[in-house]
Amino acid sequence: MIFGTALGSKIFNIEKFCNEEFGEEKARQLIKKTGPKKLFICGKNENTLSLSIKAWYDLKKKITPNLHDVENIVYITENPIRKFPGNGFYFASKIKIKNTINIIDINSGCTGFVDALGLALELKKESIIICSETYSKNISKFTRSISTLFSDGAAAFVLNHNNIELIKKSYGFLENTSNDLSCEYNQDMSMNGKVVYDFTMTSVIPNLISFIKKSKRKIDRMYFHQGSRIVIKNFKTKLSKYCKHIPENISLKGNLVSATIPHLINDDLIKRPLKNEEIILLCGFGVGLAYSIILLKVKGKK
Amino acid sequence: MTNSKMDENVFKKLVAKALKVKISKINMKLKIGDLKEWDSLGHLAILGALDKFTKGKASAIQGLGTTNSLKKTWETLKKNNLAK
Repeated sequence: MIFGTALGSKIFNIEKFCNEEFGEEKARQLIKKTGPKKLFICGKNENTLSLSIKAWYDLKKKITPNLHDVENIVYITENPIRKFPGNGFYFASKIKIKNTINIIDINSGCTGFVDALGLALELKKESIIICSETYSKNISKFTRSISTLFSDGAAAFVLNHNNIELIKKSYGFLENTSNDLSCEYNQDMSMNGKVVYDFTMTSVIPNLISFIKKSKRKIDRMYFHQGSRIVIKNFKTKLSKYCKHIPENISLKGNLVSATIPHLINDDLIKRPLKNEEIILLCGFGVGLAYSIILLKVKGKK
Repeated sequence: MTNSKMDENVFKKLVAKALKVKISKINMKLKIGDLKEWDSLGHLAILGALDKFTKGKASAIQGLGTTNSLKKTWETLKKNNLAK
């Protein structure tokens, strides 16, 4: 699995800001729970489309995608540059792909990459998957629980069915919680941290454990959405008996929403490349409130 | 503190320790925000302490994380057979 990645060009030093705002002890407690010491934020001229193009060119430095074989573009963002059309059409024009491509724009949050991969695997054709997010554009003033978590970034991936096999997937959502992590038009985003935390602990983790048990597979790696440091710590505590390798990068990059899992896998593979036949589990959770889980088998070394 | 079913005194001690305040400041009428230490971070600290004491059982209770007062938290624990 090879990814192109991009991050917002401005760096927000959370640690310094919180030290000044709340004092060192409170800042230390806060970062212990949230994770990131710095965040990557879009510059004035950056947006989800420009970040996705940047990620695409980063991918092209690593591989030469055969665009003739690509039949779909699945583009994930909650912050398209216009209400319509979706970013996928602008992206397709920018990368000069054939005009018979099937473009699918999806409004999806932290489950985005898993949603897109699940869909692309079902489509049976080669697909470009783009995840790009700029939550900083939904935050006009500092809010302790939100402004300390989210980075802006993008990821690009070309799904080749010869390299990945779908074993099993599962989706779920919790009714009447959609407003608990949401953004109304022309307003700042809002997050009810207690409800989101409760959702991860009482819905995502139990469903994930049930999924793992039913799969009856030995899982070599688990890649979880990097919601916050405390959430990742809870996931590791509850799931380490099912898998020894659960990497994290929340402290280094922050929560990149739909681009989180691609960045996490990309960072992990630099240190620990995939082996043939490895079984990997991906789990995204958040906006909805929803979760998406997918179990994959790696075919060939990549 | 032992890991048996908790009583009210143990519960208060856990909350006080999580919030890093004296136990004399803790009463069952307290609501989130009544103490400056009980903000969203303090709330996570309380949940973490309860989960540790109950060996992971507290975090599986739906709605425990969204309780807004110690009375509600205590009643939820009792309802789920983790407190007496």
